[in-house]
Amino acid sequence: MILFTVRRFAEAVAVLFVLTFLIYVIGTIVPGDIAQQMAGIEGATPERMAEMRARLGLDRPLMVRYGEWLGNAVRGDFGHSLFTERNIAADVRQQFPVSLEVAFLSVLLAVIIGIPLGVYAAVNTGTIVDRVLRGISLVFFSVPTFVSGVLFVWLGSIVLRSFYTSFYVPFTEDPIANLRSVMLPCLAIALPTSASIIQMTRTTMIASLQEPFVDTARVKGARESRVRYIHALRASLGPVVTLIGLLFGALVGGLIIVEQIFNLPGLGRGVLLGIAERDFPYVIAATLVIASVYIVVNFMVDLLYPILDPRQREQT
Amino acid sequence: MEVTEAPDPRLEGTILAVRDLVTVYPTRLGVVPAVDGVGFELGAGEVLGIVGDSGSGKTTLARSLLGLVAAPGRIESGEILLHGRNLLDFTPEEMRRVRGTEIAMIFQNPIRSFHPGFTIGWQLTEAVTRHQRVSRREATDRAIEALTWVGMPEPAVRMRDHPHQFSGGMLQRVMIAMSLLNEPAVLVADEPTTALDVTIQAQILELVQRLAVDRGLGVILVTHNLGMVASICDRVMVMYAGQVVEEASVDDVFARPAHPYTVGLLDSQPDRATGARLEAMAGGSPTMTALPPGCRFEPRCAYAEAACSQPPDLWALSSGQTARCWVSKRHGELPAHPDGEPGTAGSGTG
Repeated sequence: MILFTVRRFAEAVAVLFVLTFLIYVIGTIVPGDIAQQMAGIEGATPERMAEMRARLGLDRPLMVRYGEWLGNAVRGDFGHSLFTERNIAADVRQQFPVSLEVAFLSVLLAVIIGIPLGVYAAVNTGTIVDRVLRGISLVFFSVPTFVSGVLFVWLGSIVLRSFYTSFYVPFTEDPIANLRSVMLPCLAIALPTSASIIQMTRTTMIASLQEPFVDTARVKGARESRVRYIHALRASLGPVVTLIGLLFGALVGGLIIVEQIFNLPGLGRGVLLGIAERDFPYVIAATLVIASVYIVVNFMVDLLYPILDPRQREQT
Repeated sequence: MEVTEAPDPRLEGTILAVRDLVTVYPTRLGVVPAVDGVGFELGAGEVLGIVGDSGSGKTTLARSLLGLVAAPGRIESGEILLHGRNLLDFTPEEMRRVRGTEIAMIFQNPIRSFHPGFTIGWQLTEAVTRHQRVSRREATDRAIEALTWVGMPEPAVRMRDHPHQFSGGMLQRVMIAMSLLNEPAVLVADEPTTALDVTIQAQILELVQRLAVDRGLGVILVTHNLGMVASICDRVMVMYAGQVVEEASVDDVFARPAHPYTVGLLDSQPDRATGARLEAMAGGSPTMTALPPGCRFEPRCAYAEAACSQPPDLWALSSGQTARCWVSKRHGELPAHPDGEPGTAGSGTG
């Protein structure tokens, strides 16, 4: 188990290293740079642009720039934004917790909604409730965030006016005000997310409920609720946990639209702005943080598998 | 649980009495009587074999006894008297308390019958704590003790292992230990050795038989294997298409089977003594939604005669056996050879 953990950790670090290179290279070879961007604004001559590239170090070979960047990045220094000229690491440090909080609360809410409903649907397959749940899931799943998000903004500013605040307040400053500002965006994300958790839980639960050990539990005299939520659900969790990990990873960087609609100062909005302004040092740093979240979540999910299914402990 | 009414004096020495039990499954083609008017009695320390093909209703019967018929199936009518109390009058919660404490069950595939995610110890102690308020320590001690009953080496150590760390035979022992934890009166064993190696099968059967005798446990052994019946059962009930077609002591069934289906079952068992070729029974089980109007075995029966187009009853024969067969009834036993072609009336010389 210790060996397994160490190996998975080493793998995670290796993947992260490869990622830094890929992200840097992709972020650099994309056509268009800040010089062009500024040229567009200021109407600069080619000489002026070359001069600017030289000043920003954009004229040096790729590997040299990558080496320098990596050296600084390891120390937590991502340089300055080409656009705002602010310290990138400081910006990301402010934006990341916003995205992390919204992603975490959304997934938590989706799990709280999704797992019990998935179990219910699995136990009552084919009933009206099951069909209605599938229909609702499909609707939640199909409505794009920019539609549901706008609906929630309307809901927040008209119906829940006294509760919803559209200005983000950090949790550490005022927890209540913080929850008031993130509640609706979290709900807007949690509903479609819970739809996929419902369907995954339903599918794996239906399979688990066919297993002979479910009958063993009944024969022991376990109550039906225990048979479902302890025995069958426990055996169904593997794929659900994997899904939750993937959803969470996707959300931390995938909140672009929601952050835009709900005026949240998170990473997604930052990346959108960074791309628009060809602010590659910022985009690279933000992408790296988002990718790291994926890697960390995957690492944690990997560690959960042998706990959920002891049969996998020997294979490690 | 309290005995709510005076025990029936006819049931002296009987733990479990089943009368006219009907369990049905509604299907698109009609209602299937998977168990159709089955009755039997089980005494303390007795091992009753229930034999039949797949689809004969034997597993549905076993599940009916524990109130575990899978929906949309349901018990339609009859009585299941445990110590004189009819389980069919019990509420679901009362039935839950019966399961494990008074009637226990073990299954075909021990490996898949344990939860892969929990330790053996967790699963054993769970059986105790579902029914009794005892400390964790007490439950653990009792689980370890139960493991010693079934011959588990180093029980205290193995409590911490997960099911995949055991062999199938060992797991079936653990399953038996688990079923005995709350000292039930009846153990229902549904093909308990089908998934095991032949060498292990005998050990498990011997264990079940010893526990039945030592503890006065009534055992219902559901199987399609007559050899298994011969080795540990006292009495046999043969089922065909949801009905009991013959019930008798093991010796009688093997010496003079009274129903043509039983004859067919015996002929299709390997016999080491004679080394004779196996006889496969002609035909297949009837479609449960379109049963023959008379005897359900008639279309496959070499003994069939005119009377067989009427449904036979389960008649007691002079030998002490009971059989659902017009031919046995007329002769007092089943003649050695069928005396007519299938479907024609015979003259009746034995």
